[in-house]
Amino acid sequence: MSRRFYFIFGIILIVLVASLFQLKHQVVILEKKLSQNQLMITKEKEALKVLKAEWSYLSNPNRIEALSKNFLNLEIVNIKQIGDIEKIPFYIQKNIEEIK
Amino acid sequence: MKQKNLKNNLDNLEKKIIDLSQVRLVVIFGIFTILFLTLFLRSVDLILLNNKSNEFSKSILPPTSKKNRVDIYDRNNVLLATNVKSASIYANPKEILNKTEVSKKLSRVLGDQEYSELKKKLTSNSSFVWIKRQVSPKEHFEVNKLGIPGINFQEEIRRVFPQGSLLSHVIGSVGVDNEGLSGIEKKLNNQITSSERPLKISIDSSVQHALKRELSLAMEKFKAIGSAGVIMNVNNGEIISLISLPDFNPNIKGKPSDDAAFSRVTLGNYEMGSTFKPFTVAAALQHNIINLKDGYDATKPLKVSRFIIRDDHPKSRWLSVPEIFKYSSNIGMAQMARDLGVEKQKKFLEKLGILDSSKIEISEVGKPIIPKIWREINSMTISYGHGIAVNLLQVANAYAILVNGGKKISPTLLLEKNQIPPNNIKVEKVISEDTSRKIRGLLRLTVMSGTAKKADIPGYEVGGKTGTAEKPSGGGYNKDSIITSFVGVFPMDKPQYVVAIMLDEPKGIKETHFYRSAGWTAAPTVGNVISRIGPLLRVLPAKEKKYWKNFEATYISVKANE
Repeated sequence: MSRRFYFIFGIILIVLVASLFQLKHQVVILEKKLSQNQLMITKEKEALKVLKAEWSYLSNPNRIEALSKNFLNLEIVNIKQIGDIEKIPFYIQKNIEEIK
Repeated sequence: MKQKNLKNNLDNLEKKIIDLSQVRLVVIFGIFTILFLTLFLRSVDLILLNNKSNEFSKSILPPTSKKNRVDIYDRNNVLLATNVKSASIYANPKEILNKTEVSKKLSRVLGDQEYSELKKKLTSNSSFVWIKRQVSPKEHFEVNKLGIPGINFQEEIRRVFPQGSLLSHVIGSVGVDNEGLSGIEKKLNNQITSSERPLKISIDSSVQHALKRELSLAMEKFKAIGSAGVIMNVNNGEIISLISLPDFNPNIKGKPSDDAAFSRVTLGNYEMGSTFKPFTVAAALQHNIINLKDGYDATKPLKVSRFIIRDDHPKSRWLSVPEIFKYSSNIGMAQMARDLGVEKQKKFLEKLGILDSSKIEISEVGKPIIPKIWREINSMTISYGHGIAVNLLQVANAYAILVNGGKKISPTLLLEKNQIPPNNIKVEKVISEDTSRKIRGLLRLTVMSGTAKKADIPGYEVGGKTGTAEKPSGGGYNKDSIITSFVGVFPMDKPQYVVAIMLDEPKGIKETHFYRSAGWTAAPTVGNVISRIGPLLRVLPAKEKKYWKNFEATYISVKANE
C-alpha cells in the first residue's frame, strides 16, 4: 500500500511542479509581451500626436488659401450665392407637368 | 531460557526500530505534506488569484512620464497647441578634441548658431553645455550624421503651435522649460499643467484667419503701423476671433520684438473717439433724458470753460438725436452728456464694463485710463470718446451689451464657460429691450446713411459706429497720427456678432481721396470682414428688411425736420 501511495504522490508532485514551472514561464512571456505592447502603444501615441500636429499645420487656413489660389479656380463665398431653397424654381418638374 | 531471552531482546529491538521508523515516517510525511500544501496553495494562487502577478507586471513598467501641458483645441476641434518629443543637443567640451573643426561643422548644420558663439561654448571649462535646445527632426538627423564624439542628445518635450502666428495673441507662447510666457498659456498655466482634459477655446480658426487676412490687407493698403480686431458673440460673450498685428510666431524660441508681443486688443489703451458715442446716447435714452425725436442745437462750436468743442462734419444747424448720431456731432453729444450728468454717465459706463479691466483668460490685460476727478468737462469729452482710454475688447463687449437687449455679459475665451444661462437664472440687465432696439436702429442708420456707408454689406444688415481719434503725444494731440476704429454689429434685426477693429496710424491714399478717417479706412475693412465671415459663421442673409422699415417709420422723421 505504501509503495502505491508514494508512487501516486510522486506523480502528483512531478505534475504539479511541471505545471507550476510552465505557468511561471507563460507568465513571464506574457509580461514581456505586455510591456512590449505598451511600449508600442506609447510610440504609436507619440506618432499620432506628431501626425495630428502635422495635419493641423498642413491644413492651416493660410496654407490652404495659398494652395487654392494657385491650383483651384475657386473664390471666397459671396453672400449673393446664399439663398433660400424656396426661391429655386423647379423648372424640370414644371416642364414635365406641361408635357403631361 | 537464554534463547528466549535473546528472542525477547530481539523482539524488543525490532519493536524499537519499528517505532523509530514510524516516527521518522510520520515526520517525513508531515514535511512533505506541508511542502505539497504550499505548492498547491501557490499554484492555486497563481492560477485563480492572479492579481498579484498583475501588480508585479505593473511595477516593472516605466513610471508614467511627468505631467505635460494639455493640448488646446479651437471650437471646431482644430489642434492649436500640443506637445511632441524633441531632442536637445548638448556637448561635453572635455571630450571634444578638435574644437575649431567641430564648431565649423555644427554652425554649418545649425542655421542660427554662429561659429564664434559655438566655439566659445565648446572652449568653456565645464563638462556640460547646451548647444541648442529642442531642435527640429531635420537638425537632429544632420547633427547625428556628423557623428562627433562628445556631442549628445537629450530627449525633451516640446510645445508646438501648428497654426503658427495665427493665434499668437490668444494662446501666447511657452518658454524652453515649457512654462507659460503669455496669453492663455500664462493666465491658465495651472489648469493647463494639472488638468486631464484638453482645453477647448471659443476661437474659430477659420474666422481668425479671415480677420487676420483682412486686417493685414487693410494695414498694407493704408500703411498703418498696427491693427487690432475682435469678433465676439453678442449673446454669450464668446470670443470668436482676436487679432493684434504685428504678431509673432510662438514656435520660434526667443523674445519677440516689443511691438509684436504687444497686444493691441487687450493691453493697449486708446482714446476711441466717436466709437464711444452710443454709450452716452444709450444712457440718456435709458434714463429718459432724451427721446429719439429730441435734438440739440449744433449751429456753432460749443464753448465750455477754456475748451471749444467742434464737429468734424459740421452741419451748423439744429440736429435731431438720430442725426447727431449718424453725423457724429460732438457738439450735440456734449450737450447730451451735460443733461445726463456726471454720476449717471459714470455708473452707466461702469455697468458696461468700461471702467474695469476685462476679465478675459489672457495674461496681457490693460487697465483703462480714466480721469481721477470726473468733472462736467470730463463727462462732456468722454461722451465722444476723449479723455478716457480703454482697450478694444472692452468696447466690443459694451457694444454687445447694447445690442443684445441689455443682458450683461463678459468676454471669455473658454467654450465651457458662459453658456447662455437657463431661463430661471435672471441675467442682469444694463439697458431695457426698448433702448437696445433704439440703439440698434441708430447703429443701422449710421451705416445706411451716415459716416459708415462703406461698411454696408447687402444681405447682412450691418450697423455700427466709426471713431477717429488723434493719438496723444507730449501734452497734447498729434494731428499726424490717428487711430481709426469701427465697431460693427450684424445682422441688425437679430444681432449675433460684433466685429470691432482698429487701425493704428492709417494714411490717406488716392482711392480714398486722401481721407484717412474711420469711415474711409476702418468701416470698409469691417465690411470686408463681415462679408467674409458671415458665411463661415453660418449667418443667413436677411430675407426682408422688416426691422429697419419699422424703425424708420417710428423714429426717423429727418426729412420732416429739415
